[in-house]
Formats: sequence, structure tokens, C-alpha cells
Amino acid sequence: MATAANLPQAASQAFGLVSTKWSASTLKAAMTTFKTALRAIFPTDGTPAIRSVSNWLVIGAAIDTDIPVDPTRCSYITLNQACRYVFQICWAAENARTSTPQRITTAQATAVLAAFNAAW
Amino acid sequence: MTYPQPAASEFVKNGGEFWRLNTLLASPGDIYESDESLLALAVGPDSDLSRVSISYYDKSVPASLTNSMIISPDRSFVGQIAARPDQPYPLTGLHGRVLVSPAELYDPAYRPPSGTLAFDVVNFVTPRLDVIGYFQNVPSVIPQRSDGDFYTELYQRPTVAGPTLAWSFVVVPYYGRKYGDFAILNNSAQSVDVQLLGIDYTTNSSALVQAIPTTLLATAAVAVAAQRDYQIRASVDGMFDAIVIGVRGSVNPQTLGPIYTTLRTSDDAL
Repeated sequence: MATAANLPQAASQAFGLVSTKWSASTLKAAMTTFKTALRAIFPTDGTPAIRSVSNWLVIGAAIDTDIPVDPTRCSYITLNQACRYVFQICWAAENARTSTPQRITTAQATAVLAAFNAAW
Repeated sequence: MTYPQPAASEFVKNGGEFWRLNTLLASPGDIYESDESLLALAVGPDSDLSRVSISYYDKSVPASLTNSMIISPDRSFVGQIAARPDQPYPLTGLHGRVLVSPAELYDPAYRPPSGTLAFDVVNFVTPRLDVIGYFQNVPSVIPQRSDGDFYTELYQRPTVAGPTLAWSFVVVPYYGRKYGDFAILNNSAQSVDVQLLGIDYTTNSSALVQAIPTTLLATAAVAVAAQRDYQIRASVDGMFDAIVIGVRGSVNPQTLGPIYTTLRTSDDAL
């Protein structure tokens, strides 16, 4: 389980943590956990402002379905996509929280960080 | 512009023939949307980013119903991409839209390698994302990017008391460029050191290595009123996400004077 103190730190840990899950053949499970937690934070279409973060869920769901159940068949390309996705959604949430006006609530951003730490 | 982004539907209401998303990146995690169907997509003339990811609703893709592609200055897409706002993406609470995001990395947390890391100053030229979506049929799109032209006379001076030889860095986007012409003229009252790096960002920025650096111009002294030049060629030097220009005063970085610098970039391999 990751222990990032903030979202930029989480983003910076993306590659290391995602590839650790890949090495341990638990990438699929971690991606699914992350995706499920994120969906609970952004359950509906929301506003355009919120979608500046939640649209990443579409990309994440597509990557998750691309990850084979058999971990030995997970390609480097899929791994790289997963790393970038985690990196980018963490930055998106941080930027949406710190922008003026805020595009997502502080509680939502905190929940994204919690989802990251729980999944990775 | 960044956020709120321009709604594609507004372009349609106003009778526009295309939708243009022309924005500086707000963060490495930017993602934009079009709720209107598009008949072609191309990288715009002012884009610093050369590879742009397009994701869209596609009923033929199992489970996620999401398909994607990457457009670049070498490869636009001509053909209808339906936004399908009437259809929910499965596995999420979102409805169909055409999604646009950078397919290249950008990391504002990047710090160039140096022996005076805590005292250096780093400034970024924020990358611009320029994408054009067409509402009318076009036979073909040749999305040639304009040449880039970075110019400065002023480098931010290191303000924290520290070693005399602290660096002032500027990180300039170079995604997909095949040629760069760099020139620096020292018009300050002291000799300066200059270095030039090409970097490729990694997603592992907590580690010591935040990017893969390639030294283009090793640290070299430029005397008062002297000049240095360097031509970056893809066939010789490689291709990079960004060019890092480093300058430091040889006497006192806090009195660093005017240092004329240009970096012209092109998609043409000259």
C-alpha cells in the first residue's frame, strides 16, 4: 500500500508502484480497485469542471479491460499506459483542487489520494 | 484559457466549421472533451505537443466501448468520430464524448541535474496543446506545425543565498521537433557558463532521475560579448520532450545581466 502525502507525490510514485504491481502479477487487481474507488468519488456525469478529472475514468476503464487476467500476458505497452494514466489522473485532481475556482472539492481530491494509497 | 475549456457545441451554434482547442497545459493531467461529433481531427499549428491522444465511444470494442488513437503532425485523422452523448460509457458514470489528452509527458516537478540543486532556479515554458476538430468534410488535413521560436534576454537570478555557481534553467518544449537552432550571446558584465540538455520525461519523478538527459552542449564558458551556437539535429542528437538551457554567472549569479538567447525549432529535419 502506498503512502503518498499528496497528489503530486502520488503522481511521482506512479511508475514505481504500478510496475511493482505488474511484477507481482497484481496489476489487474490494483487497477480494478483504483477504478472502483474513483467511480465512487465521481459517480455521475457531473459538470464540465468535474469532468476535467473524471473523464480519466473512461481511459482508466479501457486500460483495465485491456489488462489480461493472466498477468504473464500483460504487455509493456499496457503497463506504460497504466503508469501514465495513474500519473495523469493524480495531476489532474491536484490541478482541479488548486485552481481558482476549484473544479473539484478538497474532499474529492483527498478521496482520490486515498484511492491511490489504497490501490497502489 | 486552460479551464473552462471552449465547448464544441458553442462553435456549432455559432455556425463554425471547426472547433479549436488551443490552450496552455494546466497540468500534466489535462483532459478535454468535445460533446459534438467531429469529421476530422488534426494537431493545430501552434501545438508544442506533437502526439495527442483521442478517445471516443466505439460500440465495437468489447467491455469498455472505448477506442483511442494518437494524432500527430505526421498523422491526422479524417473520418467521422461520433461523440454519442446519448450513450453511457460502461464501467463509469460518464456519457459519450470525444476526449482529448496529451500523449506525451510533461513534468513541472522536473529539476535538471546539478551540484547546486537546492539553489538553482528552474523556469518552464508551459507546453501548448492545439487541436482542431472539423464539423465539415475535409478531403485531407496536413497539420504542419509552425516553427517554434523561444527568445529571452533575461534569466531569473538565483535568490537563495548559496554557492556562487548556482544555475538558472529554462525548460523549453521540444516534442516531436526534428531541428533546433540555439544561439546565446553574453551581454552581461561577467563570463557565464552555458549548458544545453535534451530530456525525455519519465513518470518516475520521485527518483533521482526524473528524465533521461542527453548532453547537447556540455558546460562551456562564454566570455563577455562572446557567442555560442548549437544546431540540434534529430538524425545526430535524437528527439526530446524538452530542451533545458542552463546559464550561470562565473562571478556572482545575483548580478547576472542580459544574455540574449534564441532557440528556434522546426518539424523539418534540416
